[in-house]
Amino acid sequence: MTARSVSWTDAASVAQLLARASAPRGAVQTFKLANASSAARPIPPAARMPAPAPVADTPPRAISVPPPARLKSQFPAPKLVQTSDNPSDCVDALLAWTLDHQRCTGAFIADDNGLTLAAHGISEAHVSLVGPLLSALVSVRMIPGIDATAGALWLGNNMMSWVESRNERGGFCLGTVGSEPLSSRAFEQLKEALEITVRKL
Amino acid sequence: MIDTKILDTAVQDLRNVLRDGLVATDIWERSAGLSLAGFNQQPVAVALFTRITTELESSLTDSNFPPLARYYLLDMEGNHTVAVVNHGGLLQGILVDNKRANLGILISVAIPRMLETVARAQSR
Amino acid sequence: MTLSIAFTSLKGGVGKTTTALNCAFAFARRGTRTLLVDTDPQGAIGLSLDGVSERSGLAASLAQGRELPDVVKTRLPELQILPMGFVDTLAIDDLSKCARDNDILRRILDRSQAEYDAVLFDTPAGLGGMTRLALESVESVIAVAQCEPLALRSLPRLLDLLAQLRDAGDACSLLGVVCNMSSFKDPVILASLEELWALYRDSVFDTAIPRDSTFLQASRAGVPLGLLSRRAPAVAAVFDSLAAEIEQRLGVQEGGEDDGPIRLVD
Repeated sequence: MTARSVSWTDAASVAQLLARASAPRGAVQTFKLANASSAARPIPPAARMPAPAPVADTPPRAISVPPPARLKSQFPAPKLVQTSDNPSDCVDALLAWTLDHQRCTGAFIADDNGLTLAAHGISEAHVSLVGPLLSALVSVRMIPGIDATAGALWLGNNMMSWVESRNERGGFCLGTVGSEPLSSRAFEQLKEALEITVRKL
Repeated sequence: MIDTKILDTAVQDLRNVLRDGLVATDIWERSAGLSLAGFNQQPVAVALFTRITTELESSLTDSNFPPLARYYLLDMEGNHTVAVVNHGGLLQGILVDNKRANLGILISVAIPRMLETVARAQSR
Repeated sequence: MTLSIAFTSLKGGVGKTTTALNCAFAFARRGTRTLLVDTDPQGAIGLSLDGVSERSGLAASLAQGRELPDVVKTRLPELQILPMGFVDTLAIDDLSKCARDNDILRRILDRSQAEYDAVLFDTPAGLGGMTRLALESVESVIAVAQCEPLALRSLPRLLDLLAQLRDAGDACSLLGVVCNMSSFKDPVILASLEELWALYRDSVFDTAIPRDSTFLQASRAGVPLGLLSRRAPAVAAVFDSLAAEIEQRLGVQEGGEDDGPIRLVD
């Protein structure tokens, strides 16, 4: 049997760590207890817990195979941070962020003519559909109070969703393709991420 | 007066944006055929594309078509695309490998950035 | 000021949740208004208590961008629970990022100042993610150490993290090490115990939690030890002792300034 200690460490190292990890015992603090009595509080009479039911013979549940869409987090997506000034890097980062954090099977970034800047999981031909869509929305935006910088369209079994943003050089859109419509929150996140990116283009 | 330092910066910016998709670029003075900034330039291209651009512009005018605006594209064999950008007194040729360069980025990002930057260089 | 205590270990399966849960119960029985917060993405507190696993909690609150989650009341008015609720397995990494972005643990502590005397955090195994967040938020940390070699070897890593956090300005500090699953019958466990005492000296709580089959029974029933039956099992008293020792280490004066011996016979 080895003579080495159980913990594989030594007293000196532990003492050093303890000194750094512990605060000196502080001043006595007091707080008022809800119940001034120091005796342990009796537990209110507990309802008798029923005996556990015998496990019935049930057929095993069918295992459902997740749909081919990327399984996404239930939590809000972290804000996109563009660390590069290179437009190509920014576009790639936006695409990757969208694919990672939004419920979609594909995503694209295009200009407002429908010309693809980056895409994954969608053909350039489908991306080009945004061109006429965005052109049609120009007249819609003339109606006071109508923003129309985001939308969704069923394409067969899939839904294409997009958001638009502009810089001084032109308009761009960020779109997704998936089996479900996006939530309002997702649209807001996409819009924000696109705006962050378009500033760099 | 043209600030050639800005033109050099613009060329560098273009190389960054298009990365290995950019094969060559040249910015030249149209009247003199003098190259002012570029990357992997080919002098014969200056004369060629000055002539092509001039022919194109006069053909459009003679046919009562709208004049040439910002650029035109030529799809060439060997996976090459040439974009000729009209900067007024200057012309710029951009030769890209269209398998490596994203045309969306070329048209919607690179060319507009070039137009802005070269305009700034010319306003000095 | 409300006490804030995180129960932590690098190694999993050492009994953090069982210790945190039963300590919370013991605190509440002593009259300390206690909130037990589950920061484990597995929802360990929910898995340990019948009637809690199906409740929504921290995770749903973060996912929906809601205000702080509602607490779950218990049979003891002094004990309330903030469960984790369901966490999609693929979203576990995002949980801690989201929790950090929302500063949720500090917000829980801020809200607790008026309502609770003590907030106890059960943390997941490991030193990243939610555990790290909990350590950055609390003032006191109790290291739960199973009496066996691997747990002993991983203890310095926890201390090192605490030291680094303190160097960076966080208030967390080791309150003590609690020995769990102790037994004098097995030579390796005994050797581990002896070495734990030798190395960590005063940091080790006098109260050691023994290895006892009653824990499994309580786990099966989904109740704290003290509620396993009308007459609580003997081992439940260990947590009363531990809670008292924790309060003593924290310098808490129970009952206020007028507290003192109470005559048995008038």
